[in-house]
Amino acid sequence: MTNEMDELIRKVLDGKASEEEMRVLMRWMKEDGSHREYFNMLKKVWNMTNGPKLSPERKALEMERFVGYMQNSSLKKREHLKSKVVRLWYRYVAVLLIPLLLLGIYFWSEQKSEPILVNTETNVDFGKPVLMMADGREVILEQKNEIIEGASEIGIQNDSLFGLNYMGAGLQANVSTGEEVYNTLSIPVGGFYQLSLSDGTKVWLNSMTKLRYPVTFRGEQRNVYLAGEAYFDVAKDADHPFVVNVEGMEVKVYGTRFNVNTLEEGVVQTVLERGKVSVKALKTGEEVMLKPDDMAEFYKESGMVKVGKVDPFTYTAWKDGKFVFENATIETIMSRLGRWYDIKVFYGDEQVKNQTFTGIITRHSNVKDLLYLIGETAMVQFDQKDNVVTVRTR
Amino acid sequence: MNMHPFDNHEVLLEALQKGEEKAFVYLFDRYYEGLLNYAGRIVRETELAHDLVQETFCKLYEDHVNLNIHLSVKSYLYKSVYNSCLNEIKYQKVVNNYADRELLDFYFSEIVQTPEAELALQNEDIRKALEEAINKLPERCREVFVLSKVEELSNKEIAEKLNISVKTVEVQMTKALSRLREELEWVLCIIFFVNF
Repeated sequence: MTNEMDELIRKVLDGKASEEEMRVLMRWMKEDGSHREYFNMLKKVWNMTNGPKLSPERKALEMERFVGYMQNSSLKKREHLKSKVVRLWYRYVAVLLIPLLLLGIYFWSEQKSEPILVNTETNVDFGKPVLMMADGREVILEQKNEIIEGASEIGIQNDSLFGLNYMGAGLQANVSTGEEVYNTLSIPVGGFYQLSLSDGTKVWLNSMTKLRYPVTFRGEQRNVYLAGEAYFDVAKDADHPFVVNVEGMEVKVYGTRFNVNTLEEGVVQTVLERGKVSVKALKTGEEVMLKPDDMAEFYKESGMVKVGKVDPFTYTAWKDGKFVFENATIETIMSRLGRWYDIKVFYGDEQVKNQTFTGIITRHSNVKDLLYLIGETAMVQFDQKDNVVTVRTR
Repeated sequence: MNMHPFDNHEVLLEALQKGEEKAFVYLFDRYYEGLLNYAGRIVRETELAHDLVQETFCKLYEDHVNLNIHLSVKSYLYKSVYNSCLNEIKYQKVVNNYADRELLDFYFSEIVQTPEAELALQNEDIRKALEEAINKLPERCREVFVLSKVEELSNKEIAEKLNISVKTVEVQMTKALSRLREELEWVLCIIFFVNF
């Protein structure tokens, strides 16, 4: 067996081979039984020596995640047994606690005399999302497992890891049938949230985003209303198309994964990862069908829709906690970061705005670390004082 | 050696069917690492692998009432993870691009590691033999191999560290793979027999 073949086999197993290279291997293996045996030997060694490692810290984290899931799951089952009287009691307690807390804080701050150290780092306050119930009442979502209920809603589950879950939710007996009850979820700057709708559709909401959706889907279409950026993994239901309503247009979904972004000036970008989606401009009534890897750009001014091919990863990586920049100018990058971190940007010279950067960076809780990484690769220098960042050519 | 009540299959199964959290924690603790490594090799994305294995355990818990595992819980877990992984890769770009049906079948039947093959590979004796074989590799080859597998450096980082070209690193990695195969040939034959 030649060295060339060994290299090809290694390449295929590593997942780095091209389609043509795969075919070469396939043909070679079919040539002779001994070739296949040889390949299997190498495959065994490859499997014994590859694969991700697990640190004890990460294992503990994952264990915590699993235990949390189990406990929450059994909690959900127990919740259904709670009587209505007990639920009301919680509401009264909440009403009493708040004024008491305020009094407490007032006294405490009067007595404090030590100087307070000001934190000068610009951190992302992974800012708390706010849930607005049907009656207008607002609930700040903390990172903990709890059941949320409202005047019209029951069984909304808040999970510290998976976000808000409406799959076990329902409506109170006092709600008349036929009435669509909506909740609105608002994500602040620097926030990020995951939500499961009652039909099982998963939504990832980016910072500065608002989504309005029904507690349970009734009616022929599943309608949600979006301002901002969200990634949808829509549960299949051929009888009830899923429609994302954005100002001036609709995205109609046939069971799939896609991203909608209204945060860029004057345009709504819809990127399709897999499945089938149609984009309809309400003014003209024009409807365009998208295939995977298509991006539709809807121009608000003209009401026109333009379709092109993209690598969806560039547009959806944010949902996995990463920023992807592909030949993006510093100006574009800084405006994007401005949505996540509370920073004001000034440019030391004009040329620096047009410098480009290509890369994938994990979101950091500290903007300083992020800027350092970009600065290292691009010919750019970032100077930061409090929340003001000055950018100049290195 | 520490014996655990759950080492007994019947005791474990009963606890699982009752939904006892302790039993699921036992499984997680014992098998998570191996399952993660396995899933990671199939989907080639570490974070995704974490999610898929987590999902498998969660599904197992959700379905505990219906659990009726006759033989090995371990093999059941590996099969579940395998199925979850397969569902994922069917949509991944790498596979989406294979318009050729034949190539697709080849990928899923020959390249992806089946749970049976995976379980056969986890034998202690084989692991020990592998360690010995690694130590027998020629100097430079072993250096490169260890930097990659133990210290998890990228090919580029290894090239920089040892002051050689990336191509040389790749050649050495290929050499390591082939040498190890030669050393382990007789051991691997046994596995080969076991899961023909």
